[in-house]
Amino acid sequence: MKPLYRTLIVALTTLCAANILAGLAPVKIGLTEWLTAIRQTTGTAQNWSMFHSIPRVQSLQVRVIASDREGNQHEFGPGLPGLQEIEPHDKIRYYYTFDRIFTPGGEPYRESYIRNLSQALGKKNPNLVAFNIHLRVENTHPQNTPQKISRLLERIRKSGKAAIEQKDVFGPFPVKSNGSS
Amino acid sequence: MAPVEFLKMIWLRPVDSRRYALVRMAFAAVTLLHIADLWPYRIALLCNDGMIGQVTGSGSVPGFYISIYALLDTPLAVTASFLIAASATILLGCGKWPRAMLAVVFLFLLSVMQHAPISAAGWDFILMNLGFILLFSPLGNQWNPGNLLLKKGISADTEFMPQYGLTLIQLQVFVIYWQTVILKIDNYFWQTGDFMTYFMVSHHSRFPGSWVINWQGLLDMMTYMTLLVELAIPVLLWIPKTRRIGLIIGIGFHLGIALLGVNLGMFSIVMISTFVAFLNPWPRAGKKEIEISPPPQEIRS
Repeated sequence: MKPLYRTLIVALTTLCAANILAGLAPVKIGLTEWLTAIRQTTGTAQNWSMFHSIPRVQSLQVRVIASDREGNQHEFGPGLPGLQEIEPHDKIRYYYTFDRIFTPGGEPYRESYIRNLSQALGKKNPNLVAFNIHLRVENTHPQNTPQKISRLLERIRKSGKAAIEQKDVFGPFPVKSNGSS
Repeated sequence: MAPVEFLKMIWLRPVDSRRYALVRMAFAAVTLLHIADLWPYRIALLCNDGMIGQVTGSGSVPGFYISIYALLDTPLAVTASFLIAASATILLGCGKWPRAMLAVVFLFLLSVMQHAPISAAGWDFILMNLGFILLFSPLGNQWNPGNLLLKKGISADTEFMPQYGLTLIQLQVFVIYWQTVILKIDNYFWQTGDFMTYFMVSHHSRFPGSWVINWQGLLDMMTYMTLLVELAIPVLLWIPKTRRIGLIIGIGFHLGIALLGVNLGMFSIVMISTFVAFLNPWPRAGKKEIEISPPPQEIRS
């Protein structure tokens, strides 16, 4: 093997190894922006936080409820395109997508989703004027529960329920009718 | 030993190229499964009128947005890209134009994650990191499933390649397991043993229900065992004498995750596939070797 190739291999591999090993560095060490950008661009970020804390959600359901000019309500599935019915429990990526859209930090995705949803509703039924997104989550450990009394066993014994239902409504948003900007 | 000579020894030590061929085939097989797993989501997550719009996708990550889905945003185009990627994985597995096919596959994986990061699961990033490492690793081109696994056709001459690619993958496996343990031991629910109980009532559980309260002691033990197993797997795999037990524990652990959890089968398959990088079924007895200057035995500390 040519010396140049050997040198290149050693240099690149050492850099790659350093990037991988940085995954074990204390979390508080910040990375420079350019290094984060390189990692994101090349898909080599080292974030292996799978199940580092408890999964809090027992079930998640999303419904889209739109109203027409006469005030009647129509219910649709949240899936795009086509307003299809989706069961997040069966399709894990939809669960991740909805969960991240509707949590803090997901605003850009939420805006994009709402925009596309609005267009889809307008195409489906030009009579629709506005819609809301209804999120129903069964949460086993709501964020505001003090950890000291949050053991699941105690809560199930007290209430008989493993999860607490939480509902959120996003909207109302206008439906984009065909031809309007 | 000078640091540079130490690094040369670590990265350039010759290994049988068939080991790389095995890793290439395993990666290709798992990526093909991954593409099949992604198939039902392709229109919703990657088309412009789906759940993630074009503008959002392009601005969603720091760094440069590199995604073929900036241009391919119709159902037909997205579907075609999936078929091309699937074909590339098959050709990669068979050793046909492997470097080019690997580049196609890696671009596909990167494009999906750059466009739809909010749909990401852990195994997406594992595959991307493996693909990146393999992009500049030897691939054992002359070996295909026929002559390597089935011993059919013309057998290629044994060749030796520097081990850096395999070592990087092994290192990656270490970091995946150990980083997750480091994060977990700092978490209240892992410290108290509660994690498995919450997992078994969550949407991830295959058997959700209030039955967990009758088995909380066992589930607490499983929580602590998980941490021990995750710490142990890469070490057991790395040491030749304990490799077999490492494989048994590792495969058993991930099969357990797939059994108890819903929608986690792909994660288990991807992690098990990484174990291939630790396997060494062929003793280093060939005549052809990559020449290292100086040879390892002459390096003095």
